[in-house]
Order: sequence, then C-alpha cells, then structure tokens
Amino acid sequence: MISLTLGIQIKENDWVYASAHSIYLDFQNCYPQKTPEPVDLILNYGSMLENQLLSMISHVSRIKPSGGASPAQKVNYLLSITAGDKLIDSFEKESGTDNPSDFKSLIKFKLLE
Amino acid sequence: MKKIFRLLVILLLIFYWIPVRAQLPVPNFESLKLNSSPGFIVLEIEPDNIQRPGSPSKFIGGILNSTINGKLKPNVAFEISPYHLIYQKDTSSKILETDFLQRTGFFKTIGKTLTISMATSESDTTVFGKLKPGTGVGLGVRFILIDGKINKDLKAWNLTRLKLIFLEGIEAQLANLPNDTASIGLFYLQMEREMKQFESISYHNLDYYGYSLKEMHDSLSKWKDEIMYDVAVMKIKSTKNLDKYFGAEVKKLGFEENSLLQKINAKKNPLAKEGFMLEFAAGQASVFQKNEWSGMAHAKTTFWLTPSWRINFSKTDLTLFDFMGVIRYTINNKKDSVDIDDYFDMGVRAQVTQNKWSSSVEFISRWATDVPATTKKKYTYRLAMGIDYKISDVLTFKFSFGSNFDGNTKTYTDPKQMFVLGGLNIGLFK
Repeated sequence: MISLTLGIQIKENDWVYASAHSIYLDFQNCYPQKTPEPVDLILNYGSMLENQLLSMISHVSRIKPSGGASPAQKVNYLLSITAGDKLIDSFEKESGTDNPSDFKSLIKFKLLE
Repeated sequence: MKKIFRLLVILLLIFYWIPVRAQLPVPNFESLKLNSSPGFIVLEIEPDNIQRPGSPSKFIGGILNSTINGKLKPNVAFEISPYHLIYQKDTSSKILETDFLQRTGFFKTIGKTLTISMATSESDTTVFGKLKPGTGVGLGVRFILIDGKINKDLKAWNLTRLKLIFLEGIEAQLANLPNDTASIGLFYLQMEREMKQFESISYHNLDYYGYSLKEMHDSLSKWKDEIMYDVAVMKIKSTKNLDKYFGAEVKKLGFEENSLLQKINAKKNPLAKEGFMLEFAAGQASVFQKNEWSGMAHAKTTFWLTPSWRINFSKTDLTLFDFMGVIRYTINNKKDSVDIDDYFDMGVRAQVTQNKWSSSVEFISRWATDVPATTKKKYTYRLAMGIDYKISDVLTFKFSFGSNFDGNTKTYTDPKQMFVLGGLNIGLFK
C-alpha cells in the first residue's frame, strides 16, 4: 500500500504552529478531518494509483505564545510517500515569513515497472 | 507607633522553584508559584491563601522561609503532576490537538490538571493547638473542574483558518477540472457533500474550536449558505468563473486570518485562557510530635473550591483582571485538641496583572460554630494585599502585608497581628 506522511517543523522553540491540510486523490477528499498532519495516510495500492492526481494544500499558521512578535518564524514542510516501510520519494520546502503560509503539491502517479 | 512595630512580624520569603519542564507559556506570576499549594495551605504557612488555577508543571520544588513560633524557619514543598510525568509532552511545537485549543472534557481536564503536593514545616503551636511541637507535614491534591476559555481572537482565527483550507482545497480541485457543464455539475454536488461534511465535523468538534453550539451555527451556517447561494443561484457556468470566485473568497479569508494572527501575536500573552474556572483542592496535615515517628498525629483535613474569573482588558498589552473566591471547610482533630470545632472559610481575591506588575488584595473570613467560653468572637479573618514584580522570566519579586487568621478559637479575641512579607520567587530552570 502506498501511504503519505506530512511533517511540519518550526525553526524556533519560542513559536508554535497550527496546521490544516486539504488532500484530494483523483478529486476525492481523502483527509476530511484536515488536522493534524497525516501520518501514514493510506492512499491505495500502487497499481490502483496509476495516472491518479494527488492534490494537496497544507496551511500553516504560527503564534508566538510570549507575544509581541513580527515577522513570523519560518517552518519546514516535509512530504514523504512510502510503500510499506520503503520510502518512494520525499519533498522538502521552507516557508517564508508570511503568516499563514501555504504549501501546495500536485503529484501524478505513474507505474514505472 | 512603637505599639505598631511590636505587632509587626517580618517574614523573609525566598522561593527556589525548579520547574523541570515548562508547560505552554502562562504568565510567569502563576508558573512560578508554589506558595499556595494545598500542602502549604493546610499547614497555614502560605503567603497567598487564594490562587488562580493554572497549568500544572511536571514537577516544582520550593523552599519557603517563614516565621513559625516567632522564629524564621525553612519549609520545603514540592508539587507533581502525574499526567505530565506519565505522558511526555509533544516537543514538536504544535499548538493544536495536544496542548491548547482542544478542551478535553470534564474527566480528562481533571486528569490533566491533577497535582499532588507535599510540604513540611516546624509545627506552629497555635495553629496545631495542644499537639506537642514537632514537624508538620501537609499533603494535598488539587485539580480543575471547569477550565477557562480561549480568547475571542483565537476562536475566530481557528475557524477562519479551517474555512480557508476548506476553500483552498475546493479551489485546487477547480484548477484540475475539465471546463464542461457535466464536470461543473459534478463539482457542485461534490462541494455540497463536502460542505455538509465540513459542517458536521465542525459541530462534532465544538470543544476543539472553542465554540458553543449557537456560536458555531451563527458563524458557519451563514457562511455556508452564502457560498452555496453564490455558486448555485448566481449560475456561475464555467470553471474559469468559479475559479475566480473561489480565488476571491480565499483571498478575503486569507486577509482575515492574517489580520487575526497579527492581532493575536501583538498580545503579550495570546494563549492566556479567560473566563470562568473552578478548582477543587483538598489537604491533610499531620504533626510528628517531638519529631518522632511514633508521635504522629492527624491534625486536620481541609477541602475547598476556588472559582475564578479572568477578563483581559487590553487588546495588545497584558492587562488581566482576576476575581477569585474560596469556600473551604476544615475538619480539626478534636480528640487531640487541635481545636474544639471545625472551620468554615469564605473569601475573595481581586488581582490585576499589567505586563510586569501584578497587585492583589484578598479577604477571607473564618467561622467556628463552637468556641471556648472565654472567647467572645466566633470568627477570625485574613486580609492581605500584595504586589508582584517580574524582574525576568525566572525571577519575581513579591511583597505582601496584612493580617492573618488568628491561630485557633482560643485566640479569636486577641489583638489582630499584622504581617509583612517580602522576597523573591526564583525559577532555576525554565
């Protein structure tokens, strides 16, 4: 089974974040609860994913609990796709200081062999 | 004037606090306080009798020097939170599910806020009546029954960001949709289904959003109806138009969220809970007479409730007004003549916290249903005023003065004694 994991890391401990995610596989919402970051979210068997589109938006908002802060701290976004224990691919991206920040991904699955 | 000075008792307080693992930030006036732990209160050596319920720490230890039987004596106390000892805090800096926004329900709130405290002091011969002098040991528990609420900007932000991610998801689907009538029709049906699903999840997780049923209905239903009306009744026929429409809606909500986040982050303590809180506490004091194991005698058992209200006056500064009360019942050991009757306490405390300053006044009245024939009054009281100044995140200066309870029913008609306290709350680790 192919599964998806999203990870968010904030760079400074003085900040905290809240994230929400829209994940659509072939126009079907496969993560309606939207929070927290999905870990090992099962998509389907590899053969069933052929030519399907995985469209994702991750929305990350940051708050500084001690207050009085501007601009917002940057966050790191990590997307991993695995087949069982095997990592197929992963993508990493750093946000700007915009608050909130969005990470958008569009993936098309292709069977290579 | 000389008479006043004879009545003056000066206590020097030095607290060494060891919060091993910091919780979500709360005003440090509260996070550094162990002085009102049930263990100290039941031994009656506390400088603050009423304290606003706060987030418990995994472990706090402290040393309190106070005057007992006319001499300066060191007293030791610690307080642990079983929940935070068992469940390690998620260190990934999330604010959502684990720590803050989710209000976890009545029993989970109790479990998460339960603390156990223990304190020791030399036994006060007035407070403990005819028990022989020795070491007093206070054991206490406390937990929150009703937790406070998140502030209105946080509430608004939480729902806004979830509406936004919902619409962003819809917008992303449109970008991949073929531009034909059939696809638009299917999209509309799917969106209607998802809107219902989003609404249903939102109603199911009211606590998570910090909304009441009515608030959620007012906020979500109107928004949902407007979107569905715009899409369906305005007859937007092509994906291009729909895309434009959702793009504008996403932009509008994005500005709204950004503006809310700016407001939240401009506050000194944006995550401070507000509104009504209710804490229950109980404590038991024993005295090891002559410091011998065999001399142990149960002295008193105390139960109390602390209701509190918090209002944040300022939109940017930390200007908090806390109004607290206490209702307390103390069962004394009458067999060993700690006192001839039980006590019933009722009191109030008002506290204003503005940035680094915190000032408070508290008044508690204590009644005994039976007093010795030689005592004319059936009541005593405590009236105290105090100022806290936060020097740094781990160092707070504390000054308080007033009159404490008269030790037992035999002394209720004695002249009221005054006390003055000054000292430092020191956090060694943060």
